[in-house]
Amino acid sequence: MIPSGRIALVDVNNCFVSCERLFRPDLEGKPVVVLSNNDGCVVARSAEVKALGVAMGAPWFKFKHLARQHDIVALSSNFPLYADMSNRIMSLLAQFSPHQEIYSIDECFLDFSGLHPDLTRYAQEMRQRVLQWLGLPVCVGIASTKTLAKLANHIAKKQAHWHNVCDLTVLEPAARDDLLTGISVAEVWGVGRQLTQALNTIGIHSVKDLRDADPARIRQRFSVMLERTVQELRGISCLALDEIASPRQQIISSRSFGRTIHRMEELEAAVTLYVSRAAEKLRQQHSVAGAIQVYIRTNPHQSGEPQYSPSFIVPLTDATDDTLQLNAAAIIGLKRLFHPGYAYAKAGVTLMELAPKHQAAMNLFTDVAATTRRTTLMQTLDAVNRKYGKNMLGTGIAGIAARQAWSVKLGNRSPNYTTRWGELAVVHAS
Amino acid sequence: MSNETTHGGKRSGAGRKTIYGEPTKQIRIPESQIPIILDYLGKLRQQQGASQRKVCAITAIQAVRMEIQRRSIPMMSHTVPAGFPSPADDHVMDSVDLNEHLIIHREATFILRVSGWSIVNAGIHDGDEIIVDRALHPSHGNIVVAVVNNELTVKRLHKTDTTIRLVPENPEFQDIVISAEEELTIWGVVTRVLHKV
Repeated sequence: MIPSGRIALVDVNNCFVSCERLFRPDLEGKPVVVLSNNDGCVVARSAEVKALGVAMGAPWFKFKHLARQHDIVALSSNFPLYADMSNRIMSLLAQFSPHQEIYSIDECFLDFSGLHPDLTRYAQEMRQRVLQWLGLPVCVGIASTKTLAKLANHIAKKQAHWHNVCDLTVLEPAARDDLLTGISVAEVWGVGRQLTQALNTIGIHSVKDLRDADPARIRQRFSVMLERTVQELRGISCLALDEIASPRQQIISSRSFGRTIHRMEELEAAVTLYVSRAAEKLRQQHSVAGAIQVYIRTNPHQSGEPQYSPSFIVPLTDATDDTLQLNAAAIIGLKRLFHPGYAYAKAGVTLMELAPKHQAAMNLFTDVAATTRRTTLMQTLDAVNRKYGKNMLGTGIAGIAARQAWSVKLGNRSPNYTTRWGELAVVHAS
Repeated sequence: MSNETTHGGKRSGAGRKTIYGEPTKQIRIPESQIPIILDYLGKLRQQQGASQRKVCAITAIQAVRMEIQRRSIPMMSHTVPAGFPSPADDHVMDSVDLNEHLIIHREATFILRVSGWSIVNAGIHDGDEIIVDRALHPSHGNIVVAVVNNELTVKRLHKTDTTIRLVPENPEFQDIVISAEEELTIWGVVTRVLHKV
């Protein structure tokens, strides 16, 4: 957990659209949407599309008319591309802070405490670096707590005069109050639509209203969580990262180890265990995951010890809820990350790109019989563990050889520019 | 194909059979390294024969840089006399890592495929892959990938105090002159070409 001080939240503007534009300069300045693969919902919008009033998550068929009228380019999700770009950006951002916490595929927190006398300038340099190296535009919010950093990031995005970097800590109290008065409470991290309505009924409309509310009363009427949010808005740091629901649905399973571990085998055992837990949750909610992220980290409070806290996202060919497949992917990620010579204190996995199971697209090469058998196996596994207790039955650390899966070109998916020799971006010499 | 020829000794596994279970490509390698590489490929084949290739149902996020990773070749601490295994061969000093050799800024490096002949005199042919590093500052004389007419194009950058031109390396093609009011986007600097011979 990042201690109180200076926290930055960095996120990529319209991440998936920005990734597509890197290899398609012709899409620069044009309205672009990226659609989810199975249900045709909007998962990313360029600024031009946002201006046309297309909502996040909207079913695309409703906008066919608008699309024709404005020549909107609609692309299918190309998750291997986004995952690769995400791995690159996280690795690059990690070089700007001694401590990084990855929050989702396109955003992370960085500890900025005491790094530079002028953090805005430092963040601008970081922004320039990401733009040059990766061609991705980012926004940075800086504040004393995560909730405020998230808010600062929102301000950096929405108010042009900040030039994509907003440091709330440089404002005089009066100026900060004015700013928070002008922002709806709905923009606060963890305050959803229902909560917004409930808060409105008791006269809390702006961020400032919530900040100045009585914490005890908030706890009584709502929850301990919201009380903590109030504290965070006041500059008192009290939220760990996995306590906040992610913007994109994901399932996190992570733990600190009882003692530090050094060997790959031990990490593999831990990661395997976390995968089975996460996969069990995934099946409980009848979802499938399209990607799995693995991270390992040393103990950041053990100063003097060498620090290493990498993470890596592995996309899956077919979205799945199968423990064995998820585990195989996780171990691939872990093998990429592991370096001997560090004392690892924590590991975790995050299931990403969740979708309802009944919508999971099967591809041409999906072996239906095998999939059905696997489903039965997983149901048995869950049933045994329900009956005889947690982790009674689980996956060993043996690798598994699953069938070769062939990816199928989806409707309007861009090529896997960065992850397949056969699909490299073409540069013209004509 | 059968081994009918006799000169040059028996070259087991030569020819165009896909003995590795995947398509093969020709590459140029230094003569001194041939025995090492043949030895390495032999071991690779044995391994593949011994265990069924374990392939996970995962889109290998074998980013191109990963493809090459972990395929490093042991470099022996002495020259290898062809044909005679030496007891000192166990004495591996280091390994040759293509990634390390070809890629300076891991995050900022992309591989693109070239289409066309306008840069051929710089040794970049139609169909070649080029390694492009976005972290490098584009200077006069660099081969660069630039955005021209909303397309990625590869040319040599020609900068003077007053003019910027993108110059082909093939007399049949025209220079592209960037006027003072035009803004030129340089996408990245080309550092290497991967040419199949």
